[in-house]
Amino acid sequence: MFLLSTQHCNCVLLCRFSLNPFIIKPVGALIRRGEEARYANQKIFPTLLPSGVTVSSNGYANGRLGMETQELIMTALRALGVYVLVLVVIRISGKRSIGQFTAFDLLVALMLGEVVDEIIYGDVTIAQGAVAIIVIALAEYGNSWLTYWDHGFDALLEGKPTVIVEDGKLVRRGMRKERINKNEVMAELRLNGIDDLREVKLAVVENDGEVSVIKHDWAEPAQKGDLGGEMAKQKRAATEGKDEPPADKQTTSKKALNQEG
Amino acid sequence: MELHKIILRGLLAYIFLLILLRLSGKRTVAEGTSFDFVLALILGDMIDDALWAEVPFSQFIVATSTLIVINIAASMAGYASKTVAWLLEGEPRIIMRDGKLLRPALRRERINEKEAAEMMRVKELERERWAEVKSARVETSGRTSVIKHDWAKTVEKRDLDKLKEVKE
Repeated sequence: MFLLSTQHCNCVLLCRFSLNPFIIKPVGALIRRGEEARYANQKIFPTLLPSGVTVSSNGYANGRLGMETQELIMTALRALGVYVLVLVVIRISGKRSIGQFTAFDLLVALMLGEVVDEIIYGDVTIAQGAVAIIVIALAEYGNSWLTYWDHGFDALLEGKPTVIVEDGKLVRRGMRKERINKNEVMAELRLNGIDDLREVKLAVVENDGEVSVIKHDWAEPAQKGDLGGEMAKQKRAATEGKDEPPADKQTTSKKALNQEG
Repeated sequence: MELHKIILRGLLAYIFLLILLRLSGKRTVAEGTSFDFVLALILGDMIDDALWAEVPFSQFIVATSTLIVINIAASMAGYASKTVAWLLEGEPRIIMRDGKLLRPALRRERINEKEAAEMMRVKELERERWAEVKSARVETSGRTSVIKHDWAKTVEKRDLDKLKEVKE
């Protein structure tokens, strides 16, 4: 079954026929993982035996059992390689901060973190690890384009923003959808420095869970353009004298927010 | 199961990582960029293998210190060279100028129009007020920064003198 050198063949057979398999420390694991290997690994890799280590008839290895310097150097090199790979993956994913993460991005990040430490410790080969990371990276890259193209896929993955306050009134339907009660809405408004619900023109729970609050014009802080003079002329020129654009052009319109009726 | 060894290894790993992170400075893992986040996840995952003795402790120490040292070296290189900084974190990108979205820039950041509207809304700018924006950027940290036209900036105390002049 195993291709072993004749020198180790006897002991390996002895190991495998022993009555208590848990007593036997697997030779391969001993060398790779230090003395306290947990797994009763059946596979034995005689090629991994460092020079000077022999295997006794009870299956224990004799000789120097610690990590070899060479293996430690390899660990450092693998860490370096993994660092570069992960950096590349994150740069092409286009998400710069965890503030931009959707729930699914978070999951992908966790996945990446879990996969990578096995590679650094050498539990999987570099080729296997690289393939796994590249697959995750490609999926993440494809996903970011799918969301960009705006054919409903983004709504599926990221959800739609929900209106919870409109024109100073609580929107019960949106609050139910986000499972957020009145006290929590008021707390969110307080975080925005508002204690009077009437000041709020619109409050929306955005896809990343953040609540954005838009105040009525009269509750906004005064702008330099409101004081008259040269600045007021500039303001009129920029806004074309109109207070508000047509309803369907407004971000606050139901259409823009993707809300039904 | 040797419980006392787990306690010992846990404590050692904890103290070791603590020292390493303190040495590397505040901005190593606390900057909030996605790369730092993943790096923190990796370091956290590496502890558990050492805790259950699936890897020797020496390997754990070499692996974690390599990652942190490379990270420090990379940020130092980024500080010294603009090219390296660009490779590591990209550059801020202007996504809106004079109230108009710059579509090629949005495309490069893979931000669609809905998401851009969302980013502006978080900055308390609904679409009818986009005219106030002189420029908006996605910074390398991923945050949105908005610079408004002078007339749209909030009134400061020094402006009140002008108000008096206008009235007179």
